[in-house]
Amino acid sequence: MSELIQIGAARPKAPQPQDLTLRWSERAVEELEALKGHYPDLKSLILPALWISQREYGGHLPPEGIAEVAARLQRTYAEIEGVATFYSMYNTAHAPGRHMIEVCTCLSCHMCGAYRLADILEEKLGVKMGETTEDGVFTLHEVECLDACDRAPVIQVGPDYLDPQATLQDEGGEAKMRAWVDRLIDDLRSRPEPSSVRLADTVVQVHVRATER
Amino acid sequence: MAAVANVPLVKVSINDVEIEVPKGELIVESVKRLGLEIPIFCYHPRMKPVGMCRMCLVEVGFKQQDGSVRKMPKPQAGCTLPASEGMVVYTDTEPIHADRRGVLEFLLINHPLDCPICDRGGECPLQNNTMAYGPSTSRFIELKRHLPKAFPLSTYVTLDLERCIQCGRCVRFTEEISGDHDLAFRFRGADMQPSTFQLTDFESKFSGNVIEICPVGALTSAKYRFRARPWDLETTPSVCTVCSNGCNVWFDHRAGKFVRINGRANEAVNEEWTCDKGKFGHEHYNAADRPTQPLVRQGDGFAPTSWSGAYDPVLAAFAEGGDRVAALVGPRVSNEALFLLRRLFERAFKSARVSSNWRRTPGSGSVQGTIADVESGGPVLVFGTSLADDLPIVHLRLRKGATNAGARVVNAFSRPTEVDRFAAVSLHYRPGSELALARGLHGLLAGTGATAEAVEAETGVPADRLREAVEVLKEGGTALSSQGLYDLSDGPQIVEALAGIARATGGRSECWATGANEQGAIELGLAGEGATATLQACAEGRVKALWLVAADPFALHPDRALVERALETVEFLVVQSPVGSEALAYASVVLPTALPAEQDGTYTNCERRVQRVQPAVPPPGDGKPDWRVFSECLLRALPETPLFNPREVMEAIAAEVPAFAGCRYEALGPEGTVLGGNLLDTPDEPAMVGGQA
Amino acid sequence: MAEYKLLLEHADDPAYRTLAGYQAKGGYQALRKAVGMDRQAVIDEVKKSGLRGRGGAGFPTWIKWNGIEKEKTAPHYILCNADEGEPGTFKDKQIMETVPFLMVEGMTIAGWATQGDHGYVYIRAEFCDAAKAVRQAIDEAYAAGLLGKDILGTGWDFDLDIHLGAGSYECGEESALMSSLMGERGMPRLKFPHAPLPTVAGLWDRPTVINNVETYACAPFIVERGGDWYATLGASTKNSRGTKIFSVSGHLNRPGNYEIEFGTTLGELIDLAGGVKGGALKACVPGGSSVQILRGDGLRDAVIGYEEMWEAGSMVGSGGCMVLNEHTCIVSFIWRTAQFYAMESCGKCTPCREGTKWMLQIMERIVRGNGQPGDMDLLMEITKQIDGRSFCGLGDAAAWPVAAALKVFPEEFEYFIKHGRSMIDTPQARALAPRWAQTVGV
Repeated sequence: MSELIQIGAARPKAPQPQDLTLRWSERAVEELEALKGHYPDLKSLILPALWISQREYGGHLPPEGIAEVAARLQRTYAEIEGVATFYSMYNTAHAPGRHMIEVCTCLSCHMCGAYRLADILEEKLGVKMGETTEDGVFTLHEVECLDACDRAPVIQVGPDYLDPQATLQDEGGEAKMRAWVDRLIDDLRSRPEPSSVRLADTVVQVHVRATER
Repeated sequence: MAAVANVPLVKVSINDVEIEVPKGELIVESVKRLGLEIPIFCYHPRMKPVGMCRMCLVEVGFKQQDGSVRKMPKPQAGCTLPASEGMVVYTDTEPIHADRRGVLEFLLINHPLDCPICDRGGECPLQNNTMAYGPSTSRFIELKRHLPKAFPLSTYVTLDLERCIQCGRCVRFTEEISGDHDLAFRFRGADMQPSTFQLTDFESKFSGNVIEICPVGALTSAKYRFRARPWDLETTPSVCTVCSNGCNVWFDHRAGKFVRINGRANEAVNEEWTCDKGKFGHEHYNAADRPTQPLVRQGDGFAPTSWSGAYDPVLAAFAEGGDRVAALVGPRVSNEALFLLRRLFERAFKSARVSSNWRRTPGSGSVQGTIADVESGGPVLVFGTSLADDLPIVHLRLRKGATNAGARVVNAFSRPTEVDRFAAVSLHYRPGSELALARGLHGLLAGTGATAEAVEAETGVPADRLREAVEVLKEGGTALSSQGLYDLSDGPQIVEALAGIARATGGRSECWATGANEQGAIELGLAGEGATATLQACAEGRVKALWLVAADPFALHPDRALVERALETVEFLVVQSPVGSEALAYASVVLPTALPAEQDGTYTNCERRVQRVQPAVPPPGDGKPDWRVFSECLLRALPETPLFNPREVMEAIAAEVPAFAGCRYEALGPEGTVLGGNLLDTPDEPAMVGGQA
Repeated sequence: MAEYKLLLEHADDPAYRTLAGYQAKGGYQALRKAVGMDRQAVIDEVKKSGLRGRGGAGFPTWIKWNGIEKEKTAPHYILCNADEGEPGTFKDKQIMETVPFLMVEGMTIAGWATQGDHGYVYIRAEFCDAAKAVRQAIDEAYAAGLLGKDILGTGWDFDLDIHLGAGSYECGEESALMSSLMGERGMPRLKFPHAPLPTVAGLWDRPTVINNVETYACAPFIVERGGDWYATLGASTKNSRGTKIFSVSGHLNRPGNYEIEFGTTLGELIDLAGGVKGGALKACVPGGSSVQILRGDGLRDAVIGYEEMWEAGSMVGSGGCMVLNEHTCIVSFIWRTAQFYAMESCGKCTPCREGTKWMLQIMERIVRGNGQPGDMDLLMEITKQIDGRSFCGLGDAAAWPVAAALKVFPEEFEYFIKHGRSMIDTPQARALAPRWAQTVGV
């Protein structure tokens, strides 16, 4: 009787490690090898390995990217997925657009007009926070404190912190923000390399010692 | 109060009562010495304490030199706090009551409060703690979170994420106990939830345990769903008879019908865990096709009859049969029934042709230590078995030994198994090269001139791995395998080689049975000629009457064709079975019997531990226990006084079978008793199986 | 008191980020001196200096360094908490971007003093520029034999690596940081007395010193000029010695990092940052979002010192000073604070996991105009159920700002709840609110 209540009782099985298609480049494998010397165990490589995977998978960390990390570090998929989904910078939920514009709306930024800046961006791109433009170029994302409060309101695109150099308390502050957003969007549109790939690569490179390159 | 060896005692004060406890003991345990209890959710005595749920907060202070008490400014989690000299603890103050109310309020604000449709209702720690310590009304007027409910995480486990209180017990179980780490927390903060990878199948072979340790109805049994309310259930302490480990269980039933199995504590065997094969392997108690009445063949069908109506043709067919009559008995028949079966055949039928061995080759394995010895920390060679399948609870013990006691394990199997996760060395050999590997390792360990390269050539295992394995095992390595090795044509030689390995290293040689009472049958001398030989004799007409006792040869024997020929050719076939069987189609007489939890009897597990199972529910219809069938046959066949209850049968076993000397029900004890132990010295204990006095 | 540029003296000199430029200005004199000293003598200087952790806890640094075993039985680690996440704080960012060698040299000194084998700088992944500057500094130090094998001919080896986070404020908590570095979810670990101190069993269960970027950056000065000299700074306060970099942001003319001597007042600090912009001074959160808000009248006189701030009703904290003018809706400010903690709660313990989300839901309901009578009392009770009951300090940090604002600005909450809109009804204040909060009618 109880079985009837269960819909679709058979769950798909997780892939066997030998059935995975590993996509990491040789360079990525070498980077992981170099980093192994930094820690006394393989487990400590999980965060850097997830960054490598995010770069290798185009700025996105899909289940395959997580499974590859698990296979390479001999950990379980569940554990790696648990770690990846804990941190906000691993893009596990969805693939971001070519440029993800992360708007800080936290305390000082809020006080200097971050929500106004967010509105301006939403109007300019025609999407809401959390959405990606139809052409896949821009994703808007609200984030917590970037800790660059002297530049409030501040945004992050890839590895770069950018700000309009104007607050709502300034004379003509909103107009300055709008003009800046226009310039920002034009500039980003002209950049072909996905920001999240650039960010992931920057993160990975910072781990590698000069003597290991 | 005795100190644990080498651990000093410290004086602590709990609610103004001074006691001495071992230094470092968790306060949540120390208070139990005074009959007090601190409410908990995330704490579990068999897992590392984490202090997550904050339900166990207590007030703590430390006695100063001048006698004053310096109180800690914040309440402390009692489940992670180790006792130290001069510690002062209060568990029952107003602020602590407020803290408990606070924690419960927090847990309940997002809880769906769907007790009326939740299986946990009635045996729910959240309900119990709320009744004892919680707020009776809610101040929460915001929107509760909505998450998947009734989500089938596997065929056994149903996940309800709304009910989860994020205690982490399930995740920690898969990390610390079963070791497969199939569950992990995803996301963070209020979104945190336990899950398998991408909600794929929760494949762990021990998944059922999370159902029992989940303090709410977030993880429930799919098999038990909506079947009963706990207050409707009666429970009988019992022993699982799916495999040879003999895990202790609670057999829950209602109105005479089996409902579910839960783990029961037996520190010597299963601690408190079960495996899925056992926990979910008792559905056949309620199968619709169980034989309920004695039947005799009538044309193409059967006619129901009385027991005497059945006994007459059976005894006539087998009387004085000698070599021409035989019995094949299955792996789940009690010691008492086995003993009486043999007596019946020897004394009434003058036949020695009784066999319990369904394996390809003969052999009785080896038992030198116990299940608990497996976790002692010495090196272990696991050979030729997928341990989590064959001997699941032994697998958990071995894993414990590896992770807690630093035991180094060598896993030798033809493909990767769960043991590889914690093994120091994995030897994956070519199927069919088991003997070469066993002999090769023996040679390397005994220094008889074998080379690792030569063994590599024969088995496909890299030479340096072999050398690593030798390094691990050479000091006291125990060889651990199952009698599944006897399913191989060179089984006995492999077991012999493993015994040689143990002699060379000074470790133990363990080759354990996998059937519930397979070891008992060996102890009672029923191994016999083996099923293959018997079936061959039937097929060739040399055996005219065959008695199948709780054994479906189609399920137990690999050669279907042989079984068919045997059953067709044999003139008289008794199918004595508690469950439906393919062999029924060939039967001359059908005798309906009881399953283990429907009768009184003992079973000998893989480590030679005898445990008693008492009846929990009645067998269906006119079914009888196997031992009683044989006893009644003996009554009819012989002029001697038969044995009329299992206790007397055990006394007879103790008198006749040296291994069972001194064994009697009163001496079995709450954890059962290992044969060859000091049975003669054991004082009488209350005669209850697994002993809840 | 005015600005006292000790750490930031050469922050504007781009050459100072290179080894050559750093050494030209006296860099690495301290390390050279330290390796000629007894290890214990180095720790004694730190003790004399009165240096307290600059990350927010204000714990005496010498006690941590001194807590590492003298008889070495295991590898020792030096861990730098560069996961600056406290809203309002950006001093470590500047230190790493402009004066990274101070931190690197400071960690090396700590390594010498405690027989360290390996150091890690755990930097939040958002700080790419800072991380790159640290990377370059470490690479240069290795090349010059100031890291790695046989440092300055002492026979002592010390490695230093960078490890980046991936977006989690909780990883700024020292035990969660260790969990994260070891490859786990950023969840905190048991603390003394439930588990040994990190100096006994930290990273991989081995003795570990954990300090903030700024704390390490103070070490070279203490060693080179002596702990006694360092202790002359801030001597006017009860027990706060040396300088502290305050990150001043919000409604100011010149937001930025300002290094001041302890004993300076909040008013002097605000003046250094060019004074309040766009209106009169209304309130200030002096030490990062976790500390208690101070009301405009009288806050200028508050003296910056650990004990002094506490007496004034707030804390030094991380030194992230957020300044608010009269066009600030405190309720909106606290709503956004509550959102921050709810988003960053790791989820391990019940009070923080459930309590932060509940507070956010209530605050959001108020800001949408649906506040109910009893909401203020309920919020206050929730803060009491979290404060001191959570597994780590994040719970306390989430509770204090809400409780403080309810005490210090009750009239704003009462108004918002009663009228369904903010008491601060100026166009400048309304311009700051999110769109969905602005459409609130009467």
